[in-house]
Amino acid sequence: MPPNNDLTQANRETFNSNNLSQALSAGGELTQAYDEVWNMFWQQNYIPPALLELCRLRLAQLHRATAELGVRQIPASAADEAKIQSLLAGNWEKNENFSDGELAALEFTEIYGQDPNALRDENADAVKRHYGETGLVCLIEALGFIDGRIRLGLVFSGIAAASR
Amino acid sequence: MSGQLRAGVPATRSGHLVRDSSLGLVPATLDKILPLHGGVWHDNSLKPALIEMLRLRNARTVNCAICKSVRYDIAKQDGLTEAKAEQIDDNFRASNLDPAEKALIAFADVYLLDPLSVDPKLIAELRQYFSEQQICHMAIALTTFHAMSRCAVSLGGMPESLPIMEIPLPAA
Repeated sequence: MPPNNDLTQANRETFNSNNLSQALSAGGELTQAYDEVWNMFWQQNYIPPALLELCRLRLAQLHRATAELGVRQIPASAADEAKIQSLLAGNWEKNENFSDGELAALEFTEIYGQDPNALRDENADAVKRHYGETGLVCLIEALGFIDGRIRLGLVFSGIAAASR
Repeated sequence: MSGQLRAGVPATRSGHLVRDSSLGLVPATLDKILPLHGGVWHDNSLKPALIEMLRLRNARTVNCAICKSVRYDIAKQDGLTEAKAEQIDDNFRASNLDPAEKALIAFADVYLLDPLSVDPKLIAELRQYFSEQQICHMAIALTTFHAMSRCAVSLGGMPESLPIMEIPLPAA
């Protein structure tokens, strides 16, 4: 049987957004402040956490962060598992169950994940139509910290692997 | 790049650089982000000049005109000269920066360009010059700068370039 590259990589990835605090434990108070920002995004009222979860998973896909795809930031009762599976299968853009607001936020995430300099005013306007200016600002902030936490999970997994 | 700001600013001015920007529209998130940004500078085991080098490497990679133009006074007071700042470019390995500074920038590049490509040699190099705590602080500083500079770019209204300007850190 050929090796399963996804599993191999997942095994190598010790850290993801859920357990990154362990890797950063030597950071003390600064790690606490960083974690407080992270936790805040899953409790704010500007962008639904279930939508933020979809955005997180899309960014994880773009980073090929296999272990990150296996964790969840919100309880199953608050998540829309059918939409998550559609996103993971790569057919979310044609799935009619996604609302226009969700599609706008995911399209914004898609471009943000590749290069925020490539975002157009229309991408921002589409998000604002559904979530307002405050929703756009919150989404942009959240994407920054989600993207960053995925990156740090990969980097510290690499550091852990180098130490073994 | 958009010349038009994609979100407004708060109706009431506070005199705080960040709170008066579009980010000030959502004070609930800023109330957590600003203390983190303050901690990146004040609760950090790295010297301010090294933190500024991380920030500038990020700014140039993300291509945020505002971030690229800023020099925090705390870093200049710590000895970061403009001549040194200019060396934080793609040829930094061949520059006159010292080995610890080169390892720091190489770490930033892994995070910024390909987080899946951690080279064990770089980790050994980092550990030669920095403690575990310093590596954690380096990582949190970098990820905070990265998130905020991508924020600035995403919100639009970014000029093509700006002159270098020395400013104090925003209050937490």
